[in-house]
Amino acid sequence: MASCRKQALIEAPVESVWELLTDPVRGPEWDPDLLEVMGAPVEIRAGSTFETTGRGPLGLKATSAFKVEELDDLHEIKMRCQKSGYYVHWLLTPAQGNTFTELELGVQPLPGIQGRAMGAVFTGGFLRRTAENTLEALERAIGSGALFGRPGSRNPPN
Amino acid sequence: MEGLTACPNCAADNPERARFCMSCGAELSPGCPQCGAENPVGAKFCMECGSALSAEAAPAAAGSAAPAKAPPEERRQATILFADLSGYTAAAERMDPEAVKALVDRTLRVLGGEIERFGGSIDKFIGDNVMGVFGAPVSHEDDPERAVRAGLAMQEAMEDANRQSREKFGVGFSLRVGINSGEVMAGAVGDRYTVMGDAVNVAARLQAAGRPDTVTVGESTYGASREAIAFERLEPLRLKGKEEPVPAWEANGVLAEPRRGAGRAQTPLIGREKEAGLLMSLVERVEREERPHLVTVIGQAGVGKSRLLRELMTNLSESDDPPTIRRGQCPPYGAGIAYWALAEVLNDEFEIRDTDAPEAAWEKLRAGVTELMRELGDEASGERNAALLAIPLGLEPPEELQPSEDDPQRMREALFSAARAAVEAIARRRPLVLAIDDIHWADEGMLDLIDHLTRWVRSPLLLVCLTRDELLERRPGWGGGRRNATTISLEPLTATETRELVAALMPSSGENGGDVVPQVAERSGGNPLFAEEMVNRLLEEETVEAEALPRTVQSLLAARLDSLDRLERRLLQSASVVGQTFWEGALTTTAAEEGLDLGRTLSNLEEKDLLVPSAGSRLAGEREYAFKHVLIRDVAYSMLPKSVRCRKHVEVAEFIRERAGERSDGVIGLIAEHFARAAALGSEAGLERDALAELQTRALESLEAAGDAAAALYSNAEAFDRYTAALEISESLDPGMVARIGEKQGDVALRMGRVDAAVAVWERCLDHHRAQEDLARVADLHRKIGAALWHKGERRASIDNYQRGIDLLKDGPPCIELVRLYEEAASLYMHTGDNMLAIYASEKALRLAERLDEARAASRAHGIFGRVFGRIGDSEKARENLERSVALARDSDRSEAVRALLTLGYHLEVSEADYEGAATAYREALEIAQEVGDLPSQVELHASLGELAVDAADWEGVERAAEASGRLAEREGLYGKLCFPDLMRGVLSWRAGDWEEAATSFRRAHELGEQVGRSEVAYNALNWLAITLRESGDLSAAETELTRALDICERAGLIAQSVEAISARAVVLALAGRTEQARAAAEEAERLAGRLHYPVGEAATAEAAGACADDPDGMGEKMDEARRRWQELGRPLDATRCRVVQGRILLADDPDEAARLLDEAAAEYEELGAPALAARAREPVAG
Repeated sequence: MASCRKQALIEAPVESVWELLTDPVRGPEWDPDLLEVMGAPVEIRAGSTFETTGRGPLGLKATSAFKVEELDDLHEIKMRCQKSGYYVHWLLTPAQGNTFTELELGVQPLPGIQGRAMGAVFTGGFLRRTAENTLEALERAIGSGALFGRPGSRNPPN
Repeated sequence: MEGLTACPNCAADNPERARFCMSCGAELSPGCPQCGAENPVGAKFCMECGSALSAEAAPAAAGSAAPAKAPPEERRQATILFADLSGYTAAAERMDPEAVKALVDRTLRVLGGEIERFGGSIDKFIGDNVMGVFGAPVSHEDDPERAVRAGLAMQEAMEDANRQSREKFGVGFSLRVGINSGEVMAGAVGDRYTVMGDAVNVAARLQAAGRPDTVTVGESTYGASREAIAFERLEPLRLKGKEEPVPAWEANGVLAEPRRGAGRAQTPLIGREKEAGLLMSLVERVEREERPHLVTVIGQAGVGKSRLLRELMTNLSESDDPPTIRRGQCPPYGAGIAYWALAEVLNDEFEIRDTDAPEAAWEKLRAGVTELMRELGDEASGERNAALLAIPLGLEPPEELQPSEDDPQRMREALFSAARAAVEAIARRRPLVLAIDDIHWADEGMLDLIDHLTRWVRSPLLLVCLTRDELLERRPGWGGGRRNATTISLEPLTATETRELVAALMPSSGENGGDVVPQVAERSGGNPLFAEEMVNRLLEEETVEAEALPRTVQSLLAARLDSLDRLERRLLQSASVVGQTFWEGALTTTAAEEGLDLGRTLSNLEEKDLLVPSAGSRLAGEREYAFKHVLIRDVAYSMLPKSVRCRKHVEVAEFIRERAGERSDGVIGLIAEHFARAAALGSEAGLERDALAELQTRALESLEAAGDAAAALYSNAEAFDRYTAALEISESLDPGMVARIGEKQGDVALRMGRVDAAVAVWERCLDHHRAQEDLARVADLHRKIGAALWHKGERRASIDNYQRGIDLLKDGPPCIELVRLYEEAASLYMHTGDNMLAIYASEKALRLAERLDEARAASRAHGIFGRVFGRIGDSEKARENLERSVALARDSDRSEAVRALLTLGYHLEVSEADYEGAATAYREALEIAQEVGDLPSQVELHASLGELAVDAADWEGVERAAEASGRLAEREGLYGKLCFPDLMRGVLSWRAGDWEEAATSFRRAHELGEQVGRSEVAYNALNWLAITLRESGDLSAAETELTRALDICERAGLIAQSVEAISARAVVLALAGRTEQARAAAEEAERLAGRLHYPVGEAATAEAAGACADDPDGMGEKMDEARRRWQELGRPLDATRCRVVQGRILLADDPDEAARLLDEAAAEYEELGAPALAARAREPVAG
């Protein structure tokens, strides 16, 4: 079972980072490998499901079926792909007006040969690179003002 | 018949020679303050020197001669003798009752006379019983021995009395004597001076239980006199009122040769070499000049006079042509034993034994003196002189030879002449050394005789007289102004000499505890006898407790005190309550009560060498004095009744408080000490309940204030003791007060590293506050307990305590207790590598701190932000926060500055590789930590400086750090901190090439680091373990440990360290020939380092890149770059390692170049003081 955890200080209030992270539709704005999000609810909560299309570990286009397993408002969200066992776990906490962010990526292979085969492609190196890239992209997205004032944003800044 | 003197106090009749009233104990005939001569009662001026004797005679000189008063109440060491006549039933049957009464009365008075003859006083006659006291109102250094001698003499006197009464009345009595020694309360009961205490009761019981015609003594009397008296041990006696059988002995007689010092170690001669040399040179001088010379060795009791004389005797007896040596001693109970020392000399010279019949003794004397006179050419005077010399020997010459001189003065001249002639004749045979010990006890005649011999003998005679300072009080001009007289004044040994002496006396002191030698040396004050007695007590009692005073020393000093004028002694006793040093002003009450002239009395005591003025004074404007010897102070103090001590301690405390005024904070410790002692003594002395309660309150308040003052100055041990003393004042203290003081006690205990003590006391406080439902205090105590457990490495219990505290307060209004809980929790999480929770808790703490305007808490929060930001590679924000943290801490308190500087230093070291900046921060932090007594931080700071020393290959620094941090952590039981010294020890073993030992240390450091949640230490330990394994050639194990180190980096977000670990892993893989994997690791390290701008990372990645290079040239280029970077960072060992790695990789393809590189590396290691690493580097090419 591979996993990787990375931390970063995002220069934005936790509410803003939280808003961005919990709106799956806006995932492509900060996830460089994410191409499309389908079937996401307007307001995400524990148990919500949605699908994504993106570049997988082998560089191939892949579809994932995510289910939100844990959600603690403004603090924690954990989603897991029901096909591969791949999970994304975000933890946020305010830090001097900014957001201290921890991203944990990992895989818990599903039972069976197919599950194990799919899990095996998520190597430590892939997870590490993905986590670093994701956090960098999130920082860039915030730096570019992508967080605020975009159409569809549910909580405009004050 | 002896005349009688009326006591000025109670009008009782006393014998003329009595110094104290037999009825009330009042002083009857005080010695002259000027010359020491005794004068008749009522004399206003000294008949010897004309000095004023009473206040009446000299009002202006009232200081030392106030009218006689009854002796004050005192606690004294005394020996009590009970003697009981039995067997007069038979007498009553045969005699008229009036005659029986007269006989008993006469017999008891004879027996009482023996008590007085040996320096005791008759306490009372009760029916057919007499009670005597030795040691009250006046002590002698050998009171127990005197009492036993008196008891034996009473039995002899009884035999004589029985002989007469049998002849006259046909009846006789039996006498039982019981003697016991111990502490008694002495003073007036009703109108009579007496002593009371258990020692008195036991003496009476011993007398009752003893066999007729014997002297039965208790244990303390036996112990104190066994060197002079022959005893037989009895079966322990069952005495009325005693639960356990009492050990007892029967005295059989006085030993012909005292067993002084038998079985004891011979005291070495230390610090008296010059004096010994001087004595030898004086012997040579008298031999050369054939003239007499008087040398007086003067000094306080026990200072080494007798030891010096013994040294002279040994030296003389070992010389080629030894002189004649004769010795005499002046006994302490010399009154009425005139010329005793002369008698000893004559006995010695003419071989006269105690067992000789009088006629035989006379014959020896006659023959000997006649022979001497013949040698002088005056044989005719032989018998006449012998008859004169028979007087001091107590011999009766034939009637025709008995001196017919009636005029005492002429008789004395005749005796002196005979003695001079005898001495001169002896000295003509061969040079004579005449040693006379203890001449301060000599009768006036003996002193005059010594003077006479010095003046008139015409042959080689060295008179060596040993005396205490008291002689100069009697004879201020002794030996002065004469060419043939020398005075050797023996001063106490120096501190070094005393330590040397004590160490020599107790060679096993190392086993018994190294503290004993300096303790004994200090308490003995340079007095060899005191030191020897203390050592003997320690050895006999198999203890290392050096405080208790040996009985011999106690007696000696008590006797010295009793030799003083009553008012001088009273003043010394009052001064003893103040302490070893005291102020004149503190004695004004005593002076007023006693009507003495304070300045003059102090001056007298200074002249008598008992006091010395202090150079400065702890109380401005107050003259300060010190007891010259601490033991004099102790004995003076011990003599005061507890109730008096209690009252006087209160007076002293009030005096200090009043004099210190607004600056009483500076002396609050002293004030507290006096109130505390007063309270303790009040309790022991049975002070009335309300008065005691009030006293205890004052003691408690002042002790708490003293504790606070000490804690504020970081005098932690003192603060801890003060709080402990406060809590021990009474068993019925207010629980709130106990909790308040207890909490402070816990605070200082933790500062001292006494974690268990702190937790224990806080747990008790917690119970109290819980019962009071004081949530804030309960929560705060949880925080304190959590922090203490964290010091011990009990992470889980620590977190639990923080959480419980937070849960109690988080829903309430903001409060400082909650801020502190968050900040402590944040600190713990930060150390364990849980950055998210550390930031979460810090944010909470910071927001609350800002609302409450709490600089300390804000400083801590900024510190944690800084550390975490540094870990994730945000150096700019890290530094910003850490510098803010230091600034806030400096405005807060010193302890905080330690923490903030430590944190800043760590960041500078690890994240920025600014080793100089880190060292500056660590050093400042260490200085403050030492100042404030913060031991846990000291352990860490020593180790941090040690790590910097490793980087710089400063091995002395590493050793120093390992020793200091290890010693502190182990001594204080800071188990959680042992990972720091373990790491240092591992590095030292690695340097020594002891891979196994190094690996053991690193594994232990890692384990402890993990256990206490110090992720950075745990990482460091694994990284070093990997380095060690790589050196030892176990590359696979090295890789495993680096993988584990990387796990820690990931778990704790240690990005900077992860660059180093990945690079090291790349190198290990390259060395193992796993090139592809090595390159992947090197690339990953480079990518990560690129994101961080981390100087160490840059050097490490260059090294990794070099190790994985495709070709030797590329490798050389990269390795050179890595070396340069390491050198620039000030890490020469790492730079040298690049050469080693390069050499090892090239071994197969280019052995010559490899050899060159490895040789170069080895040379560098040697230069860096690591020969074992050098040898290891050369190994692949050696041979």
